[in-house]
Amino acid sequence: MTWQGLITMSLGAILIENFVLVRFLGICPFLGVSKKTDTALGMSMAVIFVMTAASAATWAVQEYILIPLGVEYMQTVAFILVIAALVQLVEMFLQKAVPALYKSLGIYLPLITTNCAVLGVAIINADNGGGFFESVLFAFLSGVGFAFALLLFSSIRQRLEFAEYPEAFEGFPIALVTAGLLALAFTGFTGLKIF
Amino acid sequence: MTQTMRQFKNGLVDQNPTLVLLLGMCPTLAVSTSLTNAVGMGLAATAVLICSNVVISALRKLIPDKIRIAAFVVVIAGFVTAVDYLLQAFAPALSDSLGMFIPLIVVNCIILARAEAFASKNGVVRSAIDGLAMGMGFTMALIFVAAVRELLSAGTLFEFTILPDAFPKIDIMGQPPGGFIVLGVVIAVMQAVRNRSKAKNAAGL
Amino acid sequence: MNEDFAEAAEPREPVSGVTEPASEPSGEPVPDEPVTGSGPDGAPPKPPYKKLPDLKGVMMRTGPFLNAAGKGLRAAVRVTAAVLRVIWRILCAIGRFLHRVFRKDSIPNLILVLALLTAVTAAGLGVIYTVTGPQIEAARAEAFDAAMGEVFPGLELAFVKSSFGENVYEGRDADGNLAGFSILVSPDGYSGPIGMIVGVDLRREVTGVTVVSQRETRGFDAKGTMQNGFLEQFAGKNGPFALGNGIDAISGATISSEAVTQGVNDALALLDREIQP
Repeated sequence: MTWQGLITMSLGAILIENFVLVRFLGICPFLGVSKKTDTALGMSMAVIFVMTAASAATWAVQEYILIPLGVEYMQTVAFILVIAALVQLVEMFLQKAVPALYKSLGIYLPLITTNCAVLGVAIINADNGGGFFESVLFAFLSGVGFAFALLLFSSIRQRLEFAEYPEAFEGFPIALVTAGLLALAFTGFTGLKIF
Repeated sequence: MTQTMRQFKNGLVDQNPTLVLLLGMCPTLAVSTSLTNAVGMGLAATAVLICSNVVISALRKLIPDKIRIAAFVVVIAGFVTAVDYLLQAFAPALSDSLGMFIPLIVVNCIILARAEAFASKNGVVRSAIDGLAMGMGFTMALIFVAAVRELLSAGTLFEFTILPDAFPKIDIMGQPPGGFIVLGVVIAVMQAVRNRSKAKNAAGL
Repeated sequence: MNEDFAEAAEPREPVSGVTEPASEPSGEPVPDEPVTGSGPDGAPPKPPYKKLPDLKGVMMRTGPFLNAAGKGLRAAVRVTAAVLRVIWRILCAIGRFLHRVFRKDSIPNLILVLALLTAVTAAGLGVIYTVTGPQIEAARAEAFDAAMGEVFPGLELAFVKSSFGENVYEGRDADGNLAGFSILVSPDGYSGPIGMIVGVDLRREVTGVTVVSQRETRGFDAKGTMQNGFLEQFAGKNGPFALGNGIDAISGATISSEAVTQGVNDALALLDREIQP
């Protein structure tokens, strides 16, 4: 992959087709964990890792099990099992290695299993049918895009606490409207081309 | 109020999965650009929800606790794939517009949450009703958001032109930012209604 | 005659030769001895009556067989019962062993339940896949022909890949005659590539242009249709096309209009290159 191609893919995955703000993947953790920036940071790291590892594993499953056996219809089942197992492993690892992070992530860590972003990137890679390196790189960059949006959003949300808004908007609604404004800002990136 | 009616009220209003429990927002945002997509997704998700609730409830005594989630996920993924292929065969246009979000029904938090919270602890018939009620609640939320977005961005509902041509078409409503904002407003409206009824109940006591 | 009658009226004595022992009452009525007309003189009357089946003889002959058979049968039943009991005990022991190994929360049970679930799911999905497969293929082929045929309004064509590269499709009518080509191009628009199909007939005139995928922000309405009838401007013309030279751009969407125009030119160039090398 040429370095121009790399930069184009990065721009695409992080800015132009940001997983959260443009593709609508990964909303649940995006809204759920973004109240504090340090939790958001920990969650971002976990999601980047799971997305990358899961896309590597699912690529292998697709290439060496599903296609040779002609059972592509088992794709959803196989992929989600792989992701569930991976998240379980990450959970066990974090519990032993970084217990503070494990505790602060709480319920949101096992919820990475149901994170549309992880399964989504696996499906996108399978649809594109690229090679191993390409798929894993795309997944990593998409994870970075997710992290980017998450961190931006959490820093905005921390300031929201001091803002005044109608009582009915307390909690998720104001977060959603704010995310909408952030997405609006991101539409400025459409058509961005360097090469 | 019979238990069945209570379950329906629960699924549609008190514990509406999207508007109150705040689950399943990814597909809500993504497919609410048009009412036909919204209804299609709602029905597909409801079908999966009912089927998986029934099977998980029937097997609830046989599934060991440690692999609970994995087992649920296999069942749900099975039904999602079935629905995916049935849609591809008999409603290809809908399948194309919903695209990747059909297989993503498997990670729709609503289905896993109901399997965990209800189907694994209740009988088959009750679980089926719960699936129907929650699915209807989800579909209703989708319809609210999609109606607003389609009306504002294209002036149509179900592709029938409703608003006069003179009405400006707010393109942004059909795009991601609009989705976030409309969903936020709809949930805010829901919260306002519930706050008011809560205040009334508290005052009435 | 009277004599006969008188004789017949006298109580008769049993005729020797056909003795019925008192200890074996026969179930059959002894047929009356018909009057034969011969008196106590001469040989005992020959018995023209029906002969009894020799039951006693039969029973005497078959008795031993039956006894032996009965004993054998009883022995066989005893042996079979014993064997079945042993098998049953073995099965119970296996059952107990399995029950201990596959306790609800034991590792083998976890694996078993998950494997069973996946296997059943795989089987079910396999069935659905096989059943819906043909229907999906048919739907796809129909959609493909319809999409390709959009650029040939009024005609019903079937499209196959041509020998001119993977983006050129030949459209044939019901009789199999070539009617034109549908060419796929993706020029770069404002926000990314614009997927287009350009229809060209055998006179190298554009029959129609459709856009199948785009992410533009202007120039397309919410349904994805290009505005202002922009695409109709290409029909019936030979090209090459340029904005301002017979093709009017959509105001405010110059880049998108330029991209689509370029796409049509690209399609014609591709066709030229392939057909007349």
